Amino acid sequence: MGLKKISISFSFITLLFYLVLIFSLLSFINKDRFFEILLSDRTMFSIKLSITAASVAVMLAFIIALPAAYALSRYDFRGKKFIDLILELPMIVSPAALGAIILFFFSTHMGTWIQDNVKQFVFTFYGIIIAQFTTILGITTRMIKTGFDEIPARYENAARTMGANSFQAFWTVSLPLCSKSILSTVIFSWAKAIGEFGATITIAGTMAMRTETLPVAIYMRLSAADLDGAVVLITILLALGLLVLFIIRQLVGGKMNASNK
Amino acid sequence: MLQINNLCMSAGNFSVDDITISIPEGGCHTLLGGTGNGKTLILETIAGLRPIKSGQIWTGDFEITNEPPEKRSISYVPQDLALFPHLTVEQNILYSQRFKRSSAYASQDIAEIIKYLNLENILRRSIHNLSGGERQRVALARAFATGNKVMLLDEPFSALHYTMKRSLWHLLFDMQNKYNLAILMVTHDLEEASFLADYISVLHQGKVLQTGTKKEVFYKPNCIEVTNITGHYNYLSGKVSISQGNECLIYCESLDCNFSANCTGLALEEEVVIAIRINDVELINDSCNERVDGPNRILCKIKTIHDTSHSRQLVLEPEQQLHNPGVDIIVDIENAKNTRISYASQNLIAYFPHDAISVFRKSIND
Repeated sequence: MGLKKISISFSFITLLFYLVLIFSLLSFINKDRFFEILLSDRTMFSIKLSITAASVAVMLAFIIALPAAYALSRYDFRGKKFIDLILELPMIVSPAALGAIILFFFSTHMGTWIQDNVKQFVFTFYGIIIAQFTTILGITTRMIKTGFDEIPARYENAARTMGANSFQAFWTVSLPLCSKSILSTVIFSWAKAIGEFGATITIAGTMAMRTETLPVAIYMRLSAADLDGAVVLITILLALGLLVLFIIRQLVGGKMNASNK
Repeated sequence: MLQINNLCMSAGNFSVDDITISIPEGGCHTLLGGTGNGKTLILETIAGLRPIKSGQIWTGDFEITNEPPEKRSISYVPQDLALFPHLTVEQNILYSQRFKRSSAYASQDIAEIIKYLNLENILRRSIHNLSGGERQRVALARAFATGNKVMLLDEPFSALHYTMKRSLWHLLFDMQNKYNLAILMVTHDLEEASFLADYISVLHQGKVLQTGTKKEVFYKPNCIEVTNITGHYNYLSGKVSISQGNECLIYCESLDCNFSANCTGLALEEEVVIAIRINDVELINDSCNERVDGPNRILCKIKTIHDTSHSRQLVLEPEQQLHNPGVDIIVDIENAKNTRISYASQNLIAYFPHDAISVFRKSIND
C-alpha cells in the first residue's frame, strides 16, 4: 500500500470519526419535542442572546483588529514582536483561565471603579460580550493581518503616487483587495464567539433567561439531565457552525490572490 | 523640470550616494546599470516612497524633498506595473481622477490618451485578462492621466518581446513630446536607453560612474566599469610605449601589436587596459593589400560565426599570439564598417579606429 492510499485512508478515518459523533447525536433527537423545545421562550432567548452578544463582540473586536492588523502587516515599529506574541495568548490559554483573568481584573481598584461608574460586567450581558471579545480579538487581528500580508504594499504605493493620501490608498486599494479575507474573518470570529463557553460562564455565570447563551444553555440542560433540550441546542450550534464554514469556503474559494496577479 | 541635488538614500545595508540629475521639460534621462545597483531605490525615493538621508528634490520651482508622494506631482510606473486587480482597465486609468488636483487632465484629454494608446476596446476588461503589451499600455495611460509632468519609469518594457517593446518606445517617445514630459527611466537595455534617452547616468554599486549624453557615455566611457555596463568590448592588456599630448601608443605584448589611442595623463611603461567596442571594429579582406604592420591592425582569421536575430558576431583568432594563445577578438559585423569584407575569407585584417578604443589605467583588481 503506497503512501497515497495510506494517507487518504487516514483522511477518511477523520471524516468517519466526526460522522459517527454527529449521527449518535441525531439518534437522540426526540422528534415529538424537537420543535416544541426549539420554539420555546427559553431556547429563543438563548439564540437571541448568543447572536446579539456575538455580533456586538465581533463588531468591537473588528474596530480594534482592523487598524491593528494593518499596522502589524505594513509597518515596522518598536514592540511589534511582543504584540504579535500577545495575539496568540487567547489561542493557547484556556478560555476558562481567560475568564478568570478578566474576573481578577474586575476585582482590582480599576476594575471595581469601572463596574461602579461605567458598567456592571460580572454576571451581566456585558460580561458575556467582554468574555467573547477577549477570546476573539487576538485571532481576528491575526487573521486580518494575514489578509493584508497577501496584498503587496506596491498597490498602495502606486495609489499614493496618483494623488491618494495614506487613508485614501487604504480605503480604495488595500481594503477592497482584502475584503474577502476580512469578511471570512468576521464570520469565523462570529461563529467562535457564538460557541464561546469557558470565559462566558466564568464571568457571566449560569443564570437562566439572563446570561444563558447557547453553550451555557447546553451545559445547564445537561446538568439538569434534560437531554432532549441539550440535543436541540447542540443541533442549532452544529447547524450554525456548518453554515458559517460553508459561507467561508464559498468566499475563500473565489478569493482573489492579488499577489499573484 | 526635475532637479535632484546630491541625493543620498539607503535600504538596509545598501546605500546610494550623491545622485545629481537634471531633466528639463520634454527630456528623458536614463539610469543604466545591472540589477542590484540601486536604480529602483533611486526612483522610489524620488517618488516619496522611501526616506532620504540628504539632498534635495525639486519639480519646477517647488522643493518636494519632504512632501508625501501624493503631493509631489510625480507619476511612478514600477517594474511590475502595480495595476489594481480589483478595478477594470477604465477604473485603473481614471483612478487619479478621484483625487483630482488642479494639474489633472480634463476628461477629453484622458479620452485622447486612451485613444492614442489604443485602449478604447478593452476599457471594460479586468486587469487579469490583459496581455503583457496591453498591461504596459494601461500602466502608461494611468500614469499619463494623472496630469503630472514628471514620470519615473522602472524598466517598464522589460517583460515584453522585441517588436512590442519597439512599438511602445515609439509611443512613449511621441507621448513625451506631445505632453512635454520629463522622464527619468531605469533600464538595463542599451538599445532602449539609446532610443529614448537624451542623457544617461551609469550606476554601479550605488554610485554614478558617469553622466553624459548618449554619445559621451557609449563612446567615451570614463572607466572600465562603464564599458562593462554600456556595451560589448574586447579587453587587451598593454603598456604605454609613447605618450605625447592627447595621444599615446600602447604596446600589447600578447598580440605583439601597437595601438594608437586618444588618452591623457598616462606615464611611459604604465600598464593599461585597452577596451575596444565590438561593433566599431573595421574588417578588411587581406586580399585588398592593406598594410598590416601599422598600429591598430591585427591579422586574424575567422574562428566562429554566431548569428542572432539582429546581428552577426565573428570570433577572430589573431595570427600573432606570443604569450597568450586563446586571446580572441569579437566583432559585431552588423554595425561594423565592414564594407570590404568577404565572409569566405580565411585571413582578415581587423582595424581598430581611434574612437573605438578606450584606455584605462590598470587597477589592482584587473
